[in-house]
Amino acid sequence: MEPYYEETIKAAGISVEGKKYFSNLGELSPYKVSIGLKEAGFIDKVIGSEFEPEDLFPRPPVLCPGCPHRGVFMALKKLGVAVTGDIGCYTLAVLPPLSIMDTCICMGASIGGAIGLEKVGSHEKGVVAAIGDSTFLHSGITGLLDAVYNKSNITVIILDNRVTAMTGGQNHPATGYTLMGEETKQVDLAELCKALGVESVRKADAYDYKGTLEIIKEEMKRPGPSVILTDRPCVLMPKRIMDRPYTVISDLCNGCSACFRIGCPAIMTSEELTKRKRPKAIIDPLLCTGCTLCAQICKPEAIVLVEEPVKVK
Amino acid sequence: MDNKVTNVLIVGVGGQGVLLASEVLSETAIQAGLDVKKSEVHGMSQRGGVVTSHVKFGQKVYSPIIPYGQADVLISFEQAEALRAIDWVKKGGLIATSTTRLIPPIATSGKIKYPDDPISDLKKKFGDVIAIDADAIAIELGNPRLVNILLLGVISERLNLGTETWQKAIKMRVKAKFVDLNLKAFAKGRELAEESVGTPL
Repeated sequence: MEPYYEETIKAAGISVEGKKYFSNLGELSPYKVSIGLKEAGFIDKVIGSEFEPEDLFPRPPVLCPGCPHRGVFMALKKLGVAVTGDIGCYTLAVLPPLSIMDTCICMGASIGGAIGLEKVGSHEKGVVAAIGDSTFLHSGITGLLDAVYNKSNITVIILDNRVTAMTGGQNHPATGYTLMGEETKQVDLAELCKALGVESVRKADAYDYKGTLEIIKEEMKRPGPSVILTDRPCVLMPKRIMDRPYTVISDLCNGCSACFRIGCPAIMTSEELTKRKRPKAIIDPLLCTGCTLCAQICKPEAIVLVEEPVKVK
Repeated sequence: MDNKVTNVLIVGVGGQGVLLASEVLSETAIQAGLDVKKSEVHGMSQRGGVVTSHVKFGQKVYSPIIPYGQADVLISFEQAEALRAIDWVKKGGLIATSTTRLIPPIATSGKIKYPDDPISDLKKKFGDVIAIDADAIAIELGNPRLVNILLLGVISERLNLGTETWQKAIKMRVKAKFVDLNLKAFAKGRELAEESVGTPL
């Protein structure tokens, strides 16, 4: 925050100071404000705690249980490609355990960034841009046009979940509804990409891990820019999607941790260990949406549909 | 005029019902004729992160954020999350936590492991700790999602807002078909609190 009042008051010829006691960066918590006020001599004591904060394990946010973006990032992680990212829920792929997003600059920058990285040629395994549907319509179209015009060998994945999820579920030009909820002209993303000159535009089912992986591989081999559209809707908006949950057969779980690495909040570690002292997995039936992605990568096939859905009285 | 503001911090992990709990508490204070301010982190609620909600009520509340060391009550839906929040709680404050342990993979593979016994760590610092196995009790009551209202029941006696006011707020804020079950969970929480030793705030 800039010293707006201070500068304005000074400009009026009145002597004043203030900003030197408070940071320009970050949120002004009561604690930070009290430190500034104490330094300025207004109060005697900083409003703090007698208790030292505990040094605890982190609990970073990850993609929601059942989020359709997960399948795409699992595939990109498998391929080990460079991923330029954009602004949306999917930016969470930058955090562990997925950790498969290399850049996030501003809305639409994923495509421009991918064009640049590909031109530099520093990424042997290729470059993929990951951008959401609403971000693509907001400021990704010009980037894609540039990729066509400048003959970039990049693959652009439009993570089309039919909603502006990160900011609370607003409509956008490809949902068919205005922000007021009235029906309106719906942009066809595939036709739009083709009109920009992209020759290969394909759809992928992000809940099909292997299928998505194959489509990404094929499109990355293709010369020139290509677009992959995923079309599974957001699990929260506009409608909450909850299917029968999955569960872990404890005796079959070998503690390989493959399911831990897909970063699903429904998958936790059990306090039960394998013979080799590795924690087994458990699935929270209240959070699991039944997307099946963890079951698809579980080698010992320990992750199965629950026999009886949890009965809510 | 005595303007005593009560600060309640509610913490948990995404999906546990922290936000509904803070809505019900806020509604109760509003129905009791008090000024209420609340502030919470929304984005984490589905994403497995830490969720915190600050609720402040009194004759007049000026700011929505509880300063460090000023929470009269801490409600936690997960035992390690209660420990994470202790620098918010005032000396001698009340802590009501579920004994639930939600261990994310990062707390077994990362540098810092999940603590062995967060509840005893809490009890070393605070004299007024109520720990209940809220998950098990909620399932016994008929729905694992009742944890939040159950814990509100536990602390309700200490906040002096009136049982009927709480019940009214639950009816206003909980989905109609779940109201009866939630009232039952609230009553169960009050019953459990009677066994604890503290005095009203």
